Amino acid sequence: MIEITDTIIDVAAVEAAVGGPGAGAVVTFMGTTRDSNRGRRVISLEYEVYAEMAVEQLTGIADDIRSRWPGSAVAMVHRNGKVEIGEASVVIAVSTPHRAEAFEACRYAIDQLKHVAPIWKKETFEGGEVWIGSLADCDHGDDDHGDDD
Amino acid sequence: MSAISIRVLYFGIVRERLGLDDEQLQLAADSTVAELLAELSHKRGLNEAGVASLRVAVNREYVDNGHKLADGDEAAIIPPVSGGCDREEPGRKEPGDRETG
Repeated sequence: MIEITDTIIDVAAVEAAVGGPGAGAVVTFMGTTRDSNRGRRVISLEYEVYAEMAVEQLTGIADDIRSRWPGSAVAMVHRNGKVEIGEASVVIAVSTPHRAEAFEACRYAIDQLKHVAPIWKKETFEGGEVWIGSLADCDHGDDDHGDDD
Repeated sequence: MSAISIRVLYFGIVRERLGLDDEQLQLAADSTVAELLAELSHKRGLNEAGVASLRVAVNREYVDNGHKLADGDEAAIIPPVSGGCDREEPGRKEPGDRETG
């Protein structure tokens, strides 16, 4: 299951998609929208997705995981459009025969997704709005900016 | 010299700044991605100011600046994605931009 959706993600369905008799562990990562970021009070978040490419990139990540961790299964769903505070913007479930690999593979999946998926996030906060990852965002003064390419 | 026609897609902060979702663009045959970016800089004022960095995907695959464009290609201008600037480095592979150096 690799999907981009405009509606609330059904976490149980994502987990069910990776179930099977060979699965000894399922690790689920859920990225949720929080109400503050870098000291700003966040009002809402809006995602923009280049859907055709996103699905291809996520499929590539899933293929990669299946070859790195034999016996694994991967499901990934990401939201598009407005996401309310507290809702999941992304859900990833990975199953593997044993638990250590499930944690590793799930971490790998979200890290890769964050780097290659053509998905953009605009944050509306009290007093303005910003595209996450733009200079206006990254030059905010925190010490963790600047690791972009 | 024949020309090629490509479709250029804009997203996120770039789309918003240019006020444009996509456009059809004529380029000289054998134009590279670097030449596309130069043309967009000239025609649209597209540059990395305020954007941090731009990547380009042709037909939904990341490519480097030396990639040659072909008639009918779909070239997407990709501003920084939602991982933003506070993501941790996952020891990731680069998306296809280190093949030719």
